[in-house]
Amino acid sequence: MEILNRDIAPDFRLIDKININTPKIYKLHQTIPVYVLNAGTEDVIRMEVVFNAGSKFSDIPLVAAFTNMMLNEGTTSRTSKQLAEEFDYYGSYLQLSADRDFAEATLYTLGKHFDKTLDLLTDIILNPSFPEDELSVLLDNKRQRYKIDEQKVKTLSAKKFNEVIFGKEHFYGRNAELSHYDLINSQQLKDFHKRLYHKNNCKVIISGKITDDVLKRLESNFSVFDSIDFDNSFLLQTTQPSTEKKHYVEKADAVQSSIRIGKPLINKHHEDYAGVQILNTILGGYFGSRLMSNLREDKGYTYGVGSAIASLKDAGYFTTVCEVGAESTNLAITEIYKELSRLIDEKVDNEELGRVRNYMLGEFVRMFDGPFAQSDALRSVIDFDMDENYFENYLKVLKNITPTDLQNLAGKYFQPDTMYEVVSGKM
Amino acid sequence: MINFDKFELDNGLRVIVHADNTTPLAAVNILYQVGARNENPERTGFAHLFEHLMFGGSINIPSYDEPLQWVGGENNAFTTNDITNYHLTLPTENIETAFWLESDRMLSLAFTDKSLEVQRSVVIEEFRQRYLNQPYGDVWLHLRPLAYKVHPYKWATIGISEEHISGVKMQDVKDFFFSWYAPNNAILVVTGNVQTEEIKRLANKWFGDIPKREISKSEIPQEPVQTETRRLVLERPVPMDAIYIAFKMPGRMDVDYKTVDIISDLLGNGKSSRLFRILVMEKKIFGDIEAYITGSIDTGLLIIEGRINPEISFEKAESEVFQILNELTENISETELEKVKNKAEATLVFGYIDILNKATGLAFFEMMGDANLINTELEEYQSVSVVDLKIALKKYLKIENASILYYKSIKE
Repeated sequence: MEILNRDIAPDFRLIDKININTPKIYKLHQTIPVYVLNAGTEDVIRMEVVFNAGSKFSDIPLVAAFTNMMLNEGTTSRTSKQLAEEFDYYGSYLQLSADRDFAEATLYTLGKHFDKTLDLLTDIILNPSFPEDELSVLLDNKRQRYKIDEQKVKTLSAKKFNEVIFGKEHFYGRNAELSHYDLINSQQLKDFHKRLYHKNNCKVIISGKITDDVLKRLESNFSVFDSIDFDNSFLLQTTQPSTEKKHYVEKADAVQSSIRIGKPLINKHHEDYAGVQILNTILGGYFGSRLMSNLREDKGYTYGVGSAIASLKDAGYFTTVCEVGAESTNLAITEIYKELSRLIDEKVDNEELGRVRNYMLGEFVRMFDGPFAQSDALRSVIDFDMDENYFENYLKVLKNITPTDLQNLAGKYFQPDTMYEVVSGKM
Repeated sequence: MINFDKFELDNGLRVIVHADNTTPLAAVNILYQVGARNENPERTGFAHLFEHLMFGGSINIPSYDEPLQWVGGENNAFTTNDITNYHLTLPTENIETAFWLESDRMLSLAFTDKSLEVQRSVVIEEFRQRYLNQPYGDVWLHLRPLAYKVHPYKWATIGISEEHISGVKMQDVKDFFFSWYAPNNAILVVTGNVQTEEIKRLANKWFGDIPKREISKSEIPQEPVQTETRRLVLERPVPMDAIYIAFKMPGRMDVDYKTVDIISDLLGNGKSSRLFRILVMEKKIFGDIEAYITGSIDTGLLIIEGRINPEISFEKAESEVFQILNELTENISETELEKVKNKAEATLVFGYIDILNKATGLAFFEMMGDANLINTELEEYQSVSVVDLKIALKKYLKIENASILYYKSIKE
């Protein structure tokens, strides 16, 4: 038997090509764009129906969320109970969600039950009745949920951070408050639905084992609203970041503080975006990042720390996030700024850049592995009216970026004195 | 059907391979048969702390994570009361790196003081973040010792207290490693774009010379049958009262296990479940309520937990829950049972799409006696009858078998 030398890493190969499955795109009823990703081996289907109907389309922050949540609480022909029973009977799962830009209904179903569950999905999108009784139960329950969330330092920081970087009145910066729940009524939700859950305001992404028969069913059974009231405009506002850089939300009994440090930043449409994503990965975007190595693996201040560059439809931002023992709050903040400065003052060495590059190439492979991963990846570009060229470009940047490029980007975007700082808890 | 090959090395390491050539990736899962239930009552939280230490460098390789990142890999691990499980995915052409890394840390850790010191702090912060600094976060720290008097399930994987973690010494770490981390106490599963012959070669090359070790043999004390209701009241500054009802149920391999699992689904999994439909939507007793099982190897728990609406007393909420249990015992329709079975089927199909989930599932079932149980699970759910459910309801979901925790909201 050969003598094993365990000190030396086995040979490995760099990933040089990533297979990006291009969706088939067609127009349903000549109107609704449908993205088809036929992939995987199991007889499963995920169907996402996405509307431009997020919270920014209403003056009252919770209208979008409740319109979305109430979709499966009753239709003109089915009660809330019937809907719940039918979705469950077929073992399907319906996920409803609304964020600041979009609202969506996503169906997960076994292929053999697609017919039946598509009927249900169509019914809740087309004919919701927004019954008062179910609405009042939902409002009460969400009020409770809100009060519980308000006890989490993480929530306090996230809300404050939004306000600070976008402005309290801005549609991205405003937060739902307890009093907002009292402003919601059934008629409002009906109006919002009528205005925005419209065939000219939607897209469909369907992934899994997608046969011709599935597409035929879609053509014959699926439809959404077609009304004259359609209006998906919203009041574009300029962001108004806070004039103060440091913000503190006290929670006297907290044993940990939640820290957020960040700022408004470019989004996916900007040419520097891929480069800044790579820079962010080095800083706080993976387990071996500088923030994790420093705050967790060297100093033991926190269970986890990370940073992210996030894109919204009409804005973008950068944020570092962690929860640390109350007594280490200031020490942790100092280290976060130190790591930002280090990216500006010193070039990343080739060893670290090589490792991050390979890790990110691995992430690319994972991002396109399996039907649902592929459809998540697709969403991340089509939501921004882009296509898979975005990934091709990203890969090109990833393969070619140099330590000098990264240092320049850090100087341009990560200056510590441009950052906003929010601490919730105790310090 | 998940097809697989299985072989065993001379040192007792069991290896399972499932080939799936539709992915460019491979997943590697190593399960060690040690969890919080194997801990010394004076040193709880140790199995989980140990999981952290497994990333602090091994005998020949100073960093576990960095070489894996170099080849495009991603990894993680988790500890339960029963097992400690390590898993990774990477581009399949670089699979040998996974064998190199995993075999070296099975051979021996580096046992550095720095790693122990830092991970003690990290785990204490994890304790605070997940259990102390969250509303209702400490429930399991109290519910476990209420439900278990003898079995080590009476403590949570994170441990009883911060002191148990901060007091850990290097000698404890070494003893634990050599008592539990061994080829003959582990199951290695590789899934994805791989071939069994190649995996056999790599397994022999990298794991073959790791010596078999004496595995700790101490018997786990089994929980005696509970004969009367146990109660505990906690007062905390949270917005709503909450109730937790924990019924003892049989362990994973018992014939009644899947029957009780189905009962938990009928009661409280999804928007059409009995508890949610009647007590949240119709009677408005609870703001939210659900039922689930712990899935333990030894005597487990079926938990019903709910947030109680303002103006409703604990006693009222509790009696409403028991009324639902009585109604269920008297009246279960075939359609309702069919619904839950359909849900179980979908959950299994969706759950095993991913190569990593398949790897973890195969490892778990192999530990339970036979990896092929992954393929017969659905049949077992489908064979449960209405009569089975009624018998199990009477046997397990009775008040004298319950541990009931009132989590009472008080002003700060």
